[in-house]
Amino acid sequence: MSDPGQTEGKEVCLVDDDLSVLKSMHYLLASEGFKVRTFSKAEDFLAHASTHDVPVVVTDIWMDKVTGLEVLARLCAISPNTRVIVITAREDLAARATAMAIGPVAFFMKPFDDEKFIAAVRGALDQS
Amino acid sequence: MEKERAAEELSRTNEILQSILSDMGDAVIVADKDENFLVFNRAAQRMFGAGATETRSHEWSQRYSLYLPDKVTLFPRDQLPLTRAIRGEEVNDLEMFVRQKQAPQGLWVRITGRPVRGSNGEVLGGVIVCRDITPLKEEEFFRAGQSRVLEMIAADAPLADVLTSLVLLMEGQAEGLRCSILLLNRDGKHVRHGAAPNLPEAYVKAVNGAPIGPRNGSCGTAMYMRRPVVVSDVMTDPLWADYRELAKICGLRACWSTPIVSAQGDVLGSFAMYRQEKRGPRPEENRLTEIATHIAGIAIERQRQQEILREREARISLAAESADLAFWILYPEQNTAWMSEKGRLLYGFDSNLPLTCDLILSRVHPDERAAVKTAYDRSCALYGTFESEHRLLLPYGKTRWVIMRGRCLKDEEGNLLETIGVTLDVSAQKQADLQLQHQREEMAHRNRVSLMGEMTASFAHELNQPLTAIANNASAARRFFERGNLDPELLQQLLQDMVADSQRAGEVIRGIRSLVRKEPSVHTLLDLNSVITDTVRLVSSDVLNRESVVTIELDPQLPQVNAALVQIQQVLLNLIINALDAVEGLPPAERRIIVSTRSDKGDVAEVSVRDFGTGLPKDRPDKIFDHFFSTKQKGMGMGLTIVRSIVEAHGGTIVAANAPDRGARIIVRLPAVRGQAQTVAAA
Repeated sequence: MSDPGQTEGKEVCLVDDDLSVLKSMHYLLASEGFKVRTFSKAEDFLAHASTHDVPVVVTDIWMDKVTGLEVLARLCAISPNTRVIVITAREDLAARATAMAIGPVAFFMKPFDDEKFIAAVRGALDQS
Repeated sequence: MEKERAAEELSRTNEILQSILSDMGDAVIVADKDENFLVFNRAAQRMFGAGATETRSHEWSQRYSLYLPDKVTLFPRDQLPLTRAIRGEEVNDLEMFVRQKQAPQGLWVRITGRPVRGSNGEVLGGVIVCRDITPLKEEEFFRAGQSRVLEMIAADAPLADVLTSLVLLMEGQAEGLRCSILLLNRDGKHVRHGAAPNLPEAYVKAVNGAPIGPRNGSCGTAMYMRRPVVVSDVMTDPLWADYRELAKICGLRACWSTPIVSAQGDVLGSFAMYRQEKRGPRPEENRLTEIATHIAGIAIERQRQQEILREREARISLAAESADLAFWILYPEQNTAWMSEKGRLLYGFDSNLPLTCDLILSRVHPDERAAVKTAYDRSCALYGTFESEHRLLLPYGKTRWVIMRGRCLKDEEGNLLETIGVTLDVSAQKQADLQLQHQREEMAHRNRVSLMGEMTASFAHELNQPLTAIANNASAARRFFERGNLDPELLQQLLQDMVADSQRAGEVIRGIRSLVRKEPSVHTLLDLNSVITDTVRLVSSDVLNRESVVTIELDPQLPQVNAALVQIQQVLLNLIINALDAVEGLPPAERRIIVSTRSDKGDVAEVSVRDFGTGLPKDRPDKIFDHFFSTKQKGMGMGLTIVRSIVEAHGGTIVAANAPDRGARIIVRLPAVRGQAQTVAAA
């Protein structure tokens, strides 16, 4: 297991329109010592990404106003170096294929294995 | 000298005594011990048709025509009052019937007898005093006759029998008297035969059916003029012009007729007396007429009332039987009841079982008995009418569905006298209704189950969200704990969130279950706007999956409706999923659906689901509501049929039409609950 200290200072962004999921992921990452910034609206995150350095973002792929795929597409333009981890509550192979084509580093079905998820976030941070 | 004077005095006394005896109205007969008549006064000679004879007592009954009160048995010798008096017995008020030449009708005689004793008390002979009581007896018989006729009326004997008895009674009161009763038809214009047992048949036949009028014999005229008509000589009286020949043939000479009038003043018929000699009525005959018309009036009126009652009952029964109705009357005060044959059959009562209100109530199904009784009491008191649909539980456990309708009759003080009503057996209809409803529910249920299949993505999403949150929170708590920095406040927060998310997951499952469950639907006041918002959210994941957009445009003034939530959701889900199917083939940007609401004058809440697909069949857009009509590969073609049946069961309408530019529009209108228009402050 990597040293938690290494990841301190680097911020993980969380985007999910479901507030309880967003909050629980915040706790989960905080329990591992990650610094976390949460967004319940995709636009807010994109605005943040256009002015800040975002090493890693964890985003839901289906949200009310903007789909996760749109977020991915626009993020590619704004911040091409941001590592993306996609989480989704739906099994949708087509969406998954599209998402992977755009280039996220990992894809998780809700509910997911916490160890693998944290490992993925840590890995993404390390690579950034 | 002394002796002479005494003899003279005795002779004078004897003379006085003889004079009294011969002038008195009562008969006095004295006989000695050897049955020799010593006194037989004038009245006795008149009464018994002969004077004193040499006969002895064994010949007396024969000789003087003495009978027992049965009028046929000769008076036995040893019971004769005179023989008994001679035997030394006292006889008091003994009645005897005497029939002799001078009095062929017979006489009734009441007799008192005493023995005649010598100075030593020995019996020397006997004396009897006889009084003619014929008029008293006749009056007594006449009264008994009237009573018999009145009893016949009371016992509902046939009218012809009653009137015949009455006529015979009257005819028995005077020698040579013939009587008849004619009845006036209900048309008030023609007569028919009532009773005339001793008039010639030809005459009776000729009169039957004749009209009344101002010159129509004695009877026709009396009924027409409403007053007695006396014709002393039918041969000369102008009223008899038309009947004179007939009267002549029949030997009728005088006819006096009096109308029979009801208590209400209606002419019911006439009573007539006929004689073979020309003359007017005597006072005693007028008295007989008065009695006869009175009794005949009672008899005819009673028979008419019963006829009317019977006719009414027959008419109602006929109507009831032909309409398959059971007819009944309840008398709650006496706890008795009457029921038509059909009713007894329906309720399972034997034909001759005496009925009570309680007995009829006992046939109502135990589950509904109390409610039916309460409704009956309340409804009768408040409205004077009663209607109830309930089950009957018959002997041997058979159940029938019936509708009972009744009307209460009350007296002037408002006390319930009786309830008259009908019971209709609706079991067959109810059975069919229940079966149909069951089928409908079964179909609707299958439709909901298949809708569930269309919404799996939404349900998975709805469930996975809280499950993810729970898993994350639990995992976070474990990690904080392992690192030794689990702040109690944080732990509490995590646990609280987990509980909240578990409940959220539970809600989702409950929502699914309520859609799939087979349960009788409960109607409540619904705000369609919020039902639509919830339902659209429920399918949101599938909408996203299908890369479609559902827009809702809600009228904030939409009135509430009284409806079953699950069924309305079912309608919306069917319409939305159909719309999603309709736009499936379009490019994602055009996959649009608009769900909108509109209040129509506050009377109707209107919901419209509009898509931008290829539209409905042009010739008949409403074909889509037919069974098994489907344009889809996987569709059963039942969805819209069910939707329509649900809408119609809510008293609403549903129409399908093509939108002007493109796509289809389905409009559902449900009746609004009055006075419940939503009051949402305009923003």
